[in-house]
Amino acid sequence: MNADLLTQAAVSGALIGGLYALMSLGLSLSWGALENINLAHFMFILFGAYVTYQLTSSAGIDPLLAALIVVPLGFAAGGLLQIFFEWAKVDEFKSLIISFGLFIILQSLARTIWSADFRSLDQSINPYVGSSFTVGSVSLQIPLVIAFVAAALIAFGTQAVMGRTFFGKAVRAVVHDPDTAQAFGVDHRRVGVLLAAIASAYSALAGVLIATFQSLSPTMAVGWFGIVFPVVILGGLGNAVGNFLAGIIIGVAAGVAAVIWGPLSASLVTFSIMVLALLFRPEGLFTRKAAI
Amino acid sequence: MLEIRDLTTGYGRAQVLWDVTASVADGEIVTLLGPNGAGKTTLVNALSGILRPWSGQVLLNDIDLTATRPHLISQSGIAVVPEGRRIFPDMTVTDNLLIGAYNKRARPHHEGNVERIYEIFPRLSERKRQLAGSMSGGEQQMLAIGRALMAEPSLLLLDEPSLGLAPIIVENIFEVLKQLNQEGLSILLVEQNAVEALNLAGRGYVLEEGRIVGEGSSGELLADERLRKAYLGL
Repeated sequence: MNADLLTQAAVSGALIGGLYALMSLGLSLSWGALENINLAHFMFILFGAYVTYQLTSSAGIDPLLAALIVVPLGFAAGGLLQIFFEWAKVDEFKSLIISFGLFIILQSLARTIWSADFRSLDQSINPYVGSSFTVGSVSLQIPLVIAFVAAALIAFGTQAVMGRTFFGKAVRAVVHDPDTAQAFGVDHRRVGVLLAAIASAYSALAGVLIATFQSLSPTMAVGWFGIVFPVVILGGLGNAVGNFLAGIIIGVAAGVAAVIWGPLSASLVTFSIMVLALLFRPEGLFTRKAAI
Repeated sequence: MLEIRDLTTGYGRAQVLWDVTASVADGEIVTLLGPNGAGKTTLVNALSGILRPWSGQVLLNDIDLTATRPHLISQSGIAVVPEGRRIFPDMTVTDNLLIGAYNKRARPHHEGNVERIYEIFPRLSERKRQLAGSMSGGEQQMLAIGRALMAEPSLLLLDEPSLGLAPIIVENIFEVLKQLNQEGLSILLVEQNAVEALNLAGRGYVLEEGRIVGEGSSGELLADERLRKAYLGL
């Protein structure tokens, strides 16, 4: 085993871990704060990626600039879905079943629109794919660096908003006791819709970043389960910075495992980490809880 | 100040309150007595917007609260100290207080009000950054009262604030309520601890099986033979 190869795997794993964190943050927020296990987030990511692909390939828009269109669309879609969940009084378990149905429907829709063939942005219109720079003996892919920086900014920004603003405190209050929060002036429906919209906007942005360097296919969303659920559980539901650190841990673990035991071992390792986390730290590695 | 007229409500199809009529005048402390299951907490929930009235009216300073959307009730001047305190256990003491100031009217003054609450309850100021759920019952009750005061209410509703607390803490809390009342706050106090409540309040109502069955000044209620047997244990 070559030390350079391992270092490269760990660094690339940490970078892609940033993307994993962003892919997981929407689900984590909606699970932790809205008590929805919303599998539609996988579709927000997938459609975010495909719509970016479409905007870039047919209108020639820079894929990162496509975020200016894709992210607001994700925001609106998540908000509308939450309005439906509120209206239909969907609880945690029902949200899992309903959003699983949505997952299947939207995945078929993606296949109908874009076919089951791999789609990727050609280098002539996508300046990011394949570009990299080296530090010492380690090569850093530029789209992964962009994703990592975006994920870090969003994680710490979200944490700051949750901890310091009235909106963030209202979210936490609603999670624990919506009736009491309401008695003090918190409109819990409005808070829920806004939070769901922000969460799905994050997922859509993850999709944009994926489109800058990966080939897209409708079934790729299934492969994301092995990444997103371990990150969400390890990071702690609704904990943005914990989620970011968990993304890095999972990214490094999967990357290093792939080098040592081959690519197929990656999801074995990530799921093993998730199971261990559920057994020994079900509240996540980074969550502070009251004694009672 | 507060006018409750022929209020009827309940949970699902189960009616709990029948034609409840009561009032609290400006600057008054009024207590609501009654046995477990009489509907006291239901009345508090209806006044704080957690439960919608089926019929009747609740007026606060001549504004009809039955027509007000629930999350806007705190803005109109009612703040509640709920039964069992219902503080937010995973949030710090300061953050719990700030939720109290969430409504638009009180929010601009939240900084000064937090300082004021810490002056009223020095115990809380020693625990600003502590998670509320890790505090003792008495401290949590102080926090629940502080949170309600952060909303800058004209009427404070308290539901069993003495429940499960040591007598010395209860005395301390009632002393604070007396002080707040002298500064002009109107109070509706729901209590099982009838003697303490009547000593603090000027007037009281007795609620049984969802109906008001008696009312009078504290002196009258304390002298009432039937009430003495039922609630005062005398």
